[in-house]
Amino acid sequence: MTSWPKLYFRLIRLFGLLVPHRLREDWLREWEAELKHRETLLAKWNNRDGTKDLLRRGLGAFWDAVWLQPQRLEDDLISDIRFGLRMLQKNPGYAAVAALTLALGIGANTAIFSIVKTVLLQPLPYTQPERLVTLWERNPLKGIAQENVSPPDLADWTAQQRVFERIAFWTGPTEFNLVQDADVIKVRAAYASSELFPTLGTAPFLGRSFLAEEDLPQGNRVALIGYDFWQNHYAGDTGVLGKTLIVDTFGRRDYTIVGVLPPRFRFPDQTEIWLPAGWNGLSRDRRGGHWLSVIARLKPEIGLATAGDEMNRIQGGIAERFGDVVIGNEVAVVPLLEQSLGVRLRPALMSLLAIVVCVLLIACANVANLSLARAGARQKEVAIRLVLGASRIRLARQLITESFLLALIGGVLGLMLAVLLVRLVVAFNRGHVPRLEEVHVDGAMLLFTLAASLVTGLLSGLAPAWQYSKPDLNSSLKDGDRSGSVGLHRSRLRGVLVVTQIALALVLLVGAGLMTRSFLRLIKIDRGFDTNRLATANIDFSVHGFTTWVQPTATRPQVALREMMERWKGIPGVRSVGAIGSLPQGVNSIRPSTFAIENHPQDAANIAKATFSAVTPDYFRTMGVPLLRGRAFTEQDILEATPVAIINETMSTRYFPGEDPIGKRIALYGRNPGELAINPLSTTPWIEVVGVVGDVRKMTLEAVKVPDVFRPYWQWPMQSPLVAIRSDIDMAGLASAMRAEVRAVSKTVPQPRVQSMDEVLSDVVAQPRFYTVLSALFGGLALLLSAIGIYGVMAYAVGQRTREIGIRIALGALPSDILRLVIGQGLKLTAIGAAIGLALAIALTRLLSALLFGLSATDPLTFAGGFVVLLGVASLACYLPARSAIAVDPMTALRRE
Amino acid sequence: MGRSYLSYTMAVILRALDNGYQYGFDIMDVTGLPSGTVYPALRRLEDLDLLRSKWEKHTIAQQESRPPRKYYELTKSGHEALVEAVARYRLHDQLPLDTREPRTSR
Repeated sequence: MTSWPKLYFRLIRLFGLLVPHRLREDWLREWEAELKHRETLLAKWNNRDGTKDLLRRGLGAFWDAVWLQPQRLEDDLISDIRFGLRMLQKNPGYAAVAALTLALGIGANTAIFSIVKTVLLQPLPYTQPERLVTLWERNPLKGIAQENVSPPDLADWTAQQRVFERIAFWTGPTEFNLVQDADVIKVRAAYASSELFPTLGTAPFLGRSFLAEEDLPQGNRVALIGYDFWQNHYAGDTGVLGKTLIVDTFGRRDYTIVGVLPPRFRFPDQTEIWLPAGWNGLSRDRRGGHWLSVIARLKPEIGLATAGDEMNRIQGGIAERFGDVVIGNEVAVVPLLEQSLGVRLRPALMSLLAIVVCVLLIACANVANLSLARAGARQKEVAIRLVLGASRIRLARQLITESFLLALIGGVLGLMLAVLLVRLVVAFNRGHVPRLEEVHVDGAMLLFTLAASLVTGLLSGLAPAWQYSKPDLNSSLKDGDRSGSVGLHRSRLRGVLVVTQIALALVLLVGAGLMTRSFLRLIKIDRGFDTNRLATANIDFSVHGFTTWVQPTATRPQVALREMMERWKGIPGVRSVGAIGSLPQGVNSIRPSTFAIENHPQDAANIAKATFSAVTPDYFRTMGVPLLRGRAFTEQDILEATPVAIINETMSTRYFPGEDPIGKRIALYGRNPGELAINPLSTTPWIEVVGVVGDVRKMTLEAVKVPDVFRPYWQWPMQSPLVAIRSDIDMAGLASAMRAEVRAVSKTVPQPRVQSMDEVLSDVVAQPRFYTVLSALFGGLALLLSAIGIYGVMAYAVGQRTREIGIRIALGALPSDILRLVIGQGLKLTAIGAAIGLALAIALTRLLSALLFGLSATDPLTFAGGFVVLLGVASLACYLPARSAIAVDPMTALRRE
Repeated sequence: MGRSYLSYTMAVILRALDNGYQYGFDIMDVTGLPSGTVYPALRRLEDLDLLRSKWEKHTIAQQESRPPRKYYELTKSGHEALVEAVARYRLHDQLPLDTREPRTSR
C-alpha cells in the first residue's frame, strides 16, 4: 500500500491496530478507499472544509474497530469454554478434587488477605492518619523503651518544638463507675486534653468538644460521650446535651454532657466517655510523675526521623537541666498505627500471609500434576488433533481455559470457605487482636478472590498446557509406549512439581512447628503460683463512701474488704481467700517505686526499684506461692504497728545478695530528692523485711520476674484490690455467692466480675494463640496437600512401570525388592525436596524471631522434627501405591499394552 | 437464523441501501448518521445475513486512480427484513434526505 501521510489516514492506521488480526487488512482497505475517494471528490469541488470532514469521518473508525473486538475472541472463547465444561463433566472426580484443592488454597488466601488488609493496611479512621504519632520518653540505656510523659516535660516540649502542628495528651482509658438510677455500671473513660480531637481531626457529631480552659485543673465539669453510648443509654435523643453523668470513682462528681462524638470513634482503645483533662486529679508540676500519653500531628513537610531528632534535642536539654529526676534524654516518636498494633502483630500477619501463599502454590502444583496425569490419558487424542491441523496455541488455550474454569469454581468455593473462616477467626479473637472486628466481607475481598483464581488458573494450567502442546507425535500415535520417552518429559516436570511441593511443605512445617512450640512454652510457663481452681474478682472501692489514703478511718476500704473476705470464707466449698492491691504484676499494673536500703548507699545511676503492693495475710497461701523464709503477715500487722514488708526471691537476690534479708530495713523516697518518706502514723521511714516468698512472674507474654515488695493491707492503699479465691465449686455458683456477699456489705460497691484464673491467663496469650492456631492449621493443610501430591505422582509412576514391575516379579523379584524400588524412587524425590526445604527454612525462619518466646528461629529440634514428620508422611504416601505394585500380576502386566 | 427486531437505525440503513446508496460514506451522507454508528450497524447487518459485502471491480477503480471501495447490497432476507421494517417504522413517506452527490456506478 502506498503511504497516505495525511492525518486522517494516520488515524485509520492507528485504529487499525485495534482490529483483530484476521480482519485487519480488509478493514484498512475499506476505510482508506472510502477516505481516498471522498478526498478526491472534495478536492474536485474545491471544498475548504474537506479536512475537517474527513477527520470527523475518520474518527468514527475508532468505534468500528472497537465494535470488532468481540470478534477477536468470541467464537474461540465460547467454544473453548464449552469444550472445557464438557471435559470437566466427563471427569467429575478429577474436577471435584482439583476444584476442592484450589478452593482450599484460594479460600485461605482470601481470608488472610482480608485480615491483613483491614488490620495492617487500612488507614486509621482519622484525618490523614499517617501523620499522627505517639510520643514517649525513652532511655535505651536503662531498658526503658516507652514511658508516659510527665506534665512539665510535655509543657517544655510544646513550648520548644517546631515539628508538630498539634500536640495533645490523654490518660486512660480506665473503668469508671457510672451511677444510673439505682444501678452502678462500669464505663471505659479517658481524660482528654482539648487538643485531642482537633489533632485527630475529629469533629463532634453533636454539640462541642472540650475548650482550652477545660484543660486547667478544676475547669468546667463537662463530658463527651461516644456514639454507641449515646444510642444505648439515651436512645439517640438529640436532647442529650445538658444532661448529667454521675461518675463515682475517687469521688462522686456530676459532669454535664456537652457533645456526642461521631460513630466508630473510640480513641483511645474502646473509650466510651471522655472527661476534660482538668479533672484528672494529677499534679502538673511533678517532673517525675509520668502519667500522660501524648499524641501529635506532624507538620506536612516533616518526616519521622526529623521529628525524632528534634525531640531528642529538646529532651536532651531537659535532662541536662534536671538531671536524675528525668527518665532519659530521648523521645520515642511512634506512628499511631504501629503503636496500636504492637510489635508482634505485623510480623505475625505477614508470616501468615506467606504461609497461605505457599499453601496456594502447593495446591496449584497438585492440580498441575493432576492435569499432567490426565494428559497422559489424552495423549493420543492430542496427537491426532495436531495431525489434523489444530494449532498448538489453540490446544494450549483450550487447556488453560479448562484450568481457568476449574480455578473459578475453586474460587467460588474458596470465597465461601474464606467467609466462614473469617467469621470464626473474628468470633474467637475479637478484643484480643486490634482492629479485627473491622474485618468483613467486602468488594475488595471479592476482587482478590477473582484475581487469585485467575493467577491460580494460570499457574496450574501452564505446565500441562505447555507440555500438552508439544508432544512427540510419532511415538504417541503408535500403540504402546514402550520407550516411555513421551512420559519422560512429563515425569520430569511432575518430579519438579513434587519437589517444589515438598520443599514448601517443609518450610511451612518448620515455621508452624516453631510457633506451636513457642506457644506451648508460653502456656506451660510456671507462673509461680498454682492456677488450679483459682478464681479472681476485682472489687472497686473507688466509689464514694470510701476514703482513699491510708488513714485509720472506719470508711477505709480495708475494713469492708475484711468483712467481705470473712463472709466469702464462709461460703461452702471455698478453701481460702486472699487479696492483693492490683493484678499480680499485670500489664497495666503499678509502676515500680524507688527505695533506699538501710546502710547501703546507692549511686544515682542505679537506684533500687521494686513494685510495691499490698496483700492480705492469706494471699500467698491462697495463690499457692511458697513462703521461703521468715513469716507471713497476720491481722496484727496493722497501721499502728511496726511497718513491715515481705519481699520476693528476685528482690532478695538482687538487693541482698549473699545475705539474709530478714530483719533488714528499706524505705521509700519522699517528694524531695534524697528525702525518705515517713510511714503514715509512724515517725520512721524504715520498713522491716519479715519474710521472703517465691517469685510470681508478670502476667505478660514475656513473663519476667521482677523485684516485689509486699506490704500488709492495713499499711498500704487497697483501692481496687484483686481477690483470689481457691474453691471447689463451679464458677457460676461461686460468682453469684460472692456477689451476694458484696452487696450485703456495701450498696455502693459495684458488682464484681468473677473470672477463673485460667480465663485471665488465656487472655494474656490470646494474640499468640490467634496466629499460632492459624499457622498450625495451614501448616497441616500444606502437609496434607503435599502428601496427596506425592501419592498422586507415585501412583502414576507405578502405573507407568506396571510392565517393568510385572517382568521383575516374573523374574523372581521379592515383594520387598519391589517395595524398595518404588519407595526408593519416591524417597529420592522427597530427599531432594527436603534438602531444598531445609535450606529455605533456615534462611526464612529468622523472620519469625519476633514471634518466638524462648526459642531460637533455628531451633534444631524443631527442624529435625519437621523433617521427620515430612519423611514419615512421604513414606506413607509412597507406601500405599507401592503396595499395589506388589500386587501386580505378572501375566496381566505383560499382556497389557 | 432468528432475528429479533431491527433497530430504527438499521432500518434506515437498509432503506438507504435499497435506494442505491451502497457505499459506507454515502450511507453516512444520506442518513445523516456518523461513521461511528453506520459502520458497526453495517457489520451487524452483515452478521445477520441481511447484507453482503463486495469489492468494486478493479478496473473501475483504476480508471479513477483510487483503490477499490467496498460496497454492500441487500440479500433476499435483507429485502424481506426491509419490508417488515418499513411497515413497522412507517418509512413509506420518508425518502432518504440528501441526494447531494452523484452516485457512482458499480
